[in-house]
Amino acid sequence: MQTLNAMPWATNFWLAIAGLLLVTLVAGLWRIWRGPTATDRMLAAQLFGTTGVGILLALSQAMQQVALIDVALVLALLAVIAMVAFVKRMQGPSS
Amino acid sequence: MNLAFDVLLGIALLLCAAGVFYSRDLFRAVVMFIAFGLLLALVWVRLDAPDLALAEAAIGAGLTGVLMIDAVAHLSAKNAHHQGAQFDQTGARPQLWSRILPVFSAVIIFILLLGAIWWRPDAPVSLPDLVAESLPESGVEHPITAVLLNFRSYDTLLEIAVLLVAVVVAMALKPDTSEPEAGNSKDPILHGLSARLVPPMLVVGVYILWAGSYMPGGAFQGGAILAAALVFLKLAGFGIERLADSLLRIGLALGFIVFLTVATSVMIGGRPFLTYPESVAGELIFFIEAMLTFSIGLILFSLFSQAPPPVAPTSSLQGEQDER
Repeated sequence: MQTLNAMPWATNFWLAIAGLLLVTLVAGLWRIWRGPTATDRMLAAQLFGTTGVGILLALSQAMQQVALIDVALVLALLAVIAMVAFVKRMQGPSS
Repeated sequence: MNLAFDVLLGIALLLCAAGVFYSRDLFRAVVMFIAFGLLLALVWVRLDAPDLALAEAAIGAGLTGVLMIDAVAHLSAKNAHHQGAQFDQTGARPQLWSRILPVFSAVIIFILLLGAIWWRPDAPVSLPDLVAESLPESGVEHPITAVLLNFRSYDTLLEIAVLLVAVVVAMALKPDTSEPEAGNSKDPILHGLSARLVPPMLVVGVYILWAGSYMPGGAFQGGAILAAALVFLKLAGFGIERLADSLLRIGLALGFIVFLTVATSVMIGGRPFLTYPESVAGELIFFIEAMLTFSIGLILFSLFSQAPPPVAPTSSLQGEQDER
């Protein structure tokens, strides 16, 4: 893969940001485990989607890979669908 | 910095996997699995495999989660219907042998894998070099697409056949009681969301398909996005699967038919099965991929839509307390 080898401090900067987001993601993992209600868990998963987009964009800078922006785009578009399925199928009929 | 990030990512992935397995609450396991898919996509990114990351993001985030949530909803509705109770998850403790057996086989597999890594034979030819060498003949610029649709297109052809068989089985098993999701199409939020979300989804699906010829992307990822858009429309209450049933069936098979037709019609010119003439290879591959995207989208959507709607939508999980 093309690695343009940008300035090392920039790479480290973006990696640090991605790492920070990853730490918040691990915190979200705890919320999924802890619950207590299904809605809490689902919202944490939704937060994962948003954080994941952020991590992917930061990584695309750190690794100099344009393709990761596409991955982030797909994730951003599709993450909402699980939420819609949750609302429609598990929370009863909408009034 | 690289190492720290990767180690943290690996730990998070393992935590997530443990969460899936050790969770007694089915829904918690499902949410953990959705998170697992996202982390796995990040791992693929770190392993320099953006194609896989793209597929994982599209399948894991868009479709697997929806299918599993749907399944849990079915299960809880069924349980509530039949027994007046929810999941019986605090039931009998598993037998001793049913614990030992999986652990034993897991250890064996682990040892075998370790051995396979340790004593792996030297590759007789360097496959990446071989692909890079013959890339100009393939008609596309992206090596993964070249392998999938040209050098090893036989595998891809069979994969499509497997998907087609799976959806045929799903259609055969479908109970004949399909009703539209009643009263759902009036939901203003979902209507507004679908008006804003579905068009970009379709555009991105086509873009990913197009991008496949020179960068990560391709038919499968594009098809998954298309399927996600269709699933979303169904969830939003549009009865799309009933609009054109016969058309849907043709669409399901179209990708496979076109692929097979192209694969065999090159034999008329005296070429072996599945080898495209170099001058039009790029066009042929794109044509096949476009048809495949359409069919894969419909197939993945059908796997979702063939499931019957929930017996009685339950709100029982809403106030459920953590029972661990």
